[in-house]
Amino acid sequence: MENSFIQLNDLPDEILLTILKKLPNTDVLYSLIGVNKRLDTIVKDSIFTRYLTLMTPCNDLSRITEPILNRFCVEILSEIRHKILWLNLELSSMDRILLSTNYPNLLGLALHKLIPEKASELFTGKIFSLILLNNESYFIRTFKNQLSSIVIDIDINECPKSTSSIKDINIFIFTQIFKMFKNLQYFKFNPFDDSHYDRLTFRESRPNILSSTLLVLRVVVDFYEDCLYLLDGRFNQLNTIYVTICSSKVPTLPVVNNKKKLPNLKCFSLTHRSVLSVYNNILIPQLHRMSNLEELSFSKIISYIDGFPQLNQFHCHIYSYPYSLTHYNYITNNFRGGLFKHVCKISLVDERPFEHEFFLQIAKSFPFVRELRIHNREPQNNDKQQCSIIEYPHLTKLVLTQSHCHENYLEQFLNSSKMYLSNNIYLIVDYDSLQRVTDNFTSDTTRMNCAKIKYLNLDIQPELSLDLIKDYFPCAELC
Amino acid sequence: MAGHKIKLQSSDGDTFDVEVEIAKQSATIKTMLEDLGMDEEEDVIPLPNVNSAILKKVIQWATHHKDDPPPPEDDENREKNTNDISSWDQDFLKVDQGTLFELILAANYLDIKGLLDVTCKTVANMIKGKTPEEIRRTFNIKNDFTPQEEEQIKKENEWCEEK
Repeated sequence: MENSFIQLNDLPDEILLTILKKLPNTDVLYSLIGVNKRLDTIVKDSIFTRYLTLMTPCNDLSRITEPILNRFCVEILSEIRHKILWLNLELSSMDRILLSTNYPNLLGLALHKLIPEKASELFTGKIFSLILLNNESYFIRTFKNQLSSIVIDIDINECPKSTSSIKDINIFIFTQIFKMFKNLQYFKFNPFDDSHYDRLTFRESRPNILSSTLLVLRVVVDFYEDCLYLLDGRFNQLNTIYVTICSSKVPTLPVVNNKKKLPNLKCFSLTHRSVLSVYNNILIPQLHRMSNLEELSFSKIISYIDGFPQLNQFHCHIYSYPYSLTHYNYITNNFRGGLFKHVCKISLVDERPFEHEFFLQIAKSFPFVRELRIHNREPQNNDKQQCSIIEYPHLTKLVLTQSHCHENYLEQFLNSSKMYLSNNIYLIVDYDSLQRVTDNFTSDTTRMNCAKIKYLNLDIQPELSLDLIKDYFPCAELC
Repeated sequence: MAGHKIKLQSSDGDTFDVEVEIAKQSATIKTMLEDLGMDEEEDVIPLPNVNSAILKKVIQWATHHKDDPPPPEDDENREKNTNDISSWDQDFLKVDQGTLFELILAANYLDIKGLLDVTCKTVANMIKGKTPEEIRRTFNIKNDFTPQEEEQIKKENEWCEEK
């Protein structure tokens, strides 16, 4: 074919926009601001500048590197500051980003991966202490009248051992947000809720929170009483509430004012992480208060039991569906299917073999899974040659260690006629299994997928085969 | 009807016999067939915006993907992922930049969503992570900012930082 002479800069704006919309806004801005006048104008459009995520995606190995962050803080943010309406930030870099310029039109701020105590300090002014005036931090003073949307997401994985009561911190943050941000319309609060002792609840202390501006609330609480507390009329303009309740404990009435009508409430979405046991006595009377409700959503409860005869154990799975959590562990051959769009971490565990079709079902049910672990010592039975190639397009971490997993499953994932792996995979595996499955790092059936591995974690540091491994895993960094 | 063929004519006059079901992956051709009632094997559909070499590649792509399910609707809220290009498509798109851009223009004109998606993702991957200077080198783009304009931007940024 003769070479064509069309270049990127010759493409019409419409096509360039189609290409650039495939990338996160931060990638577009980092690479294209300042390239030439035309691209500079295109990428400064509000499509790419109004909503920015300057943080590490869930479990992604491609972190925002220091040079990228630096270019944003030194050049890019100040050039587009007027256009930024929403920022998604994480603790490690948020002060640097918020202090790098001013954001006159910022309306929404999401703070992710917060550690409870740090979050607590943030709202008392101990963070951003760079400029303290009238006991208010720069952060509070700048944004208290400006922000209408706030997301606070406290990450259990980032949570160190706390010296304070996390339950108290959760209540404190929730209260402070309403106290400080007088124009708040949208508030999403994902508190630290790993154990019963840490969850957000207003049962013991009922802070005097009021807001006549709040329109949308998304929150995870411990008890049904906490939901009643939030719906006792203290948010008189509230039109949408998404509430997740962790505990199944039935409330003792009367607990709060739960008779007042809620005429503004248009959408009520309730998710239970345990059994919904309050339907007739509590939930129905609440619905009667919502006289103008237009959208109602209850997550259904799914339950099933897995038996593990060798371990003499039974696992009972109870979850609400649609599933809103990011983890789903102990999936067996009894898995009921369904679509789990929020799940990014799964573990597959069974005493019966996982066949190719099972992995196909898992790929369909968990389209955004990033981390996958297998615990299964049973070899596969069905070794038929003709099978469709399975793809896990978002997978970045694969844990297949010999102590937990038969090497059949390593072969299942590395054989390119069975599995299509994306780039950037972090593979944790035993050296011996890997050596056998790859036929001492020579097999052509596993070569293609192995060439895509970015990080390789072996149980022992290989010495004799190091050159063979480097040749077979040309992109991999041994760690 | 399985196996029923139509003729597609490129901008440089070459004609290609293509199964109707394969050609209908192009929404443009599908609409032409339906609106103009063109279902005779002698009917020729002219494609004045696609040359012979590119049309051949497009037909090759459409033939390989003839049994694919319809691509999902665009969803602005869906997480952006450019790493989900199949190995066949990756090999298919190992072409020079000019051909890749011609394929994008053809996919856009013929309205073949799957091909447009995968070609645009390939270019997006070529952009991802590069500095502006690397972008200029990779795509042969001239920096048309004058030194004065660059200095002005720098000054404005410094003013913001001081403020």
